[in-house]
This record gives sequence, structure tokens and C-alpha cells, in this order.
Amino acid sequence: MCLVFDGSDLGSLDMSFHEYSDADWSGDPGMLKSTSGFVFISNRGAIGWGSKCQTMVALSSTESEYIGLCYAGQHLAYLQTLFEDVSQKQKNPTELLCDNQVAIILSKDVQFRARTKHIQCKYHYLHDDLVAKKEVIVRYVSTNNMVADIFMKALGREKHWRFTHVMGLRIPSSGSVKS
Amino acid sequence: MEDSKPAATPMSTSARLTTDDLEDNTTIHHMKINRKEVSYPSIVGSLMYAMLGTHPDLAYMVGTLGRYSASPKKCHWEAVNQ
Repeated sequence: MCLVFDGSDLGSLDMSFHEYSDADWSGDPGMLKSTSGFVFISNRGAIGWGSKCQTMVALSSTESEYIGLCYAGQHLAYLQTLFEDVSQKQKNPTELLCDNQVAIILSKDVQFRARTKHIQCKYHYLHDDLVAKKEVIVRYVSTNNMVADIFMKALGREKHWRFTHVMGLRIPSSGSVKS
Repeated sequence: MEDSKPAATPMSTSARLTTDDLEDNTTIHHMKINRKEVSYPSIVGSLMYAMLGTHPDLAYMVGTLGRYSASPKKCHWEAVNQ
């Protein structure tokens, strides 16, 4: 199995990318902390990914998603600099796809409500540095199409193969393999 | 790896990995794979190398199995060999 970047059916090679980010609130029963994962996709292939156990206990699924978005935002900032260095500056804001509506609202407007006021300042990096400067747009995607799910739990066969396909992992046909 | 089983996904959905193995709780640090003595951290490290380069689908599995490097039990070796 290998990563394939395929821009052939897009007309021309498009160097823009979008990103999926998700978090699994208290997914590990023994650990209590959430696991978050993200993947950046450009030209139908994954260019950056990560699966990380969060360093603090999240009190709600929204909070763990918001922290996950922040991790993804850090990687995004790095990728934007990298693309700029190779003269591929992103023209449009990067799409960040998230499956939690409240986390999306929170990233647009930091509201200090009873259940979100305790979130540490550093996790508002996404709102302050990326969303407010219009470098990122956070959009909703349904849980069924959340590719980053693969970084947080062991998936069943159907979902696993569907998501690996979206990330650009293909089993090479026998003709193209050089061993 | 003659002990490894081909599987559809890197990790079984039913596997519940914990620090202790309820069936056999002896710690196994090394195992013979292809007539070579291999340590648990080294095999997880090999998987991590693949994960960082070209296999994002292994990320969750590597993250989970790496937690048991200090005292790997039989169930962890089974998960590695999948």
C-alpha cells in the first residue's frame, strides 16, 4: 500500500489543502484523557497527519474537539509557511473540517459561558491567530465522513478502507510495482 | 514474520488493551521473529517509522501499542503481530 497524489482529474495540479480534525472524548477507559487526530489532504493525498493523546483532561466533547482543532492549527501554521517557501502560498482560507457544531461556533467567537470559561488561553490560538485573521474557515462535516476518525479508534473494515482511500493510500496494481 | 496474521485492518475493533493481561500476565520483553530476537520497543519503532513516512492508517495503533513498552504482555504482542 502506498500514498498516491493524484491531481490529474482536477484539470491542473492544485496545491491547496484542507484538513479533517476530530477528537474522541475520554475514548480510552484506562486513561481518562481524550485522543485527537488530524489529517491534511492535498491533491487527494495525505500531506500531514497526527494522532495524539491530549495532555489535559477535557470536561466535554466540545472542549476535546476544540483542543484537537488547536493541535491541527499548529500543524497548519507550519504547512502554510512551508508552502509559502516553495512559492505555493495559499490563496484562499484553508478549510478545517470538524464534526462538533459547538466547537465550530467557539472557534468563530470565543464565548465565556459556564462550560467553556475554564478552557486555557493557549487553546484559543486557533481563534485568535488563524480564524480571526481569515487564514482558516472551520466547517462542519458529519461523523460518518470524518476521515480523522481513523486516528482515534480501531475502525471496522468498511470505514477503515473508505478513509484510507480518502487519504490517498492505494494498493498499487501489479504492473506499476517495482520490487 | 511467520507468526503474523494477515488482517483487514491494523487493529481489531474488539481488542480492549489494558496494562494487565487477564489471561497471562507475564511480561515478555523479547520474542523470536524470523529467528531473530526482537524487543517490543524496537518492533513498535519499526511500525512508527512506516507510520511517519507513508502509512497514516497505522497512527492510532502505534500510539496505543507504544504505551505498553515498559511491560509488554502477551495480548500486546498479539496486537503487534496482527
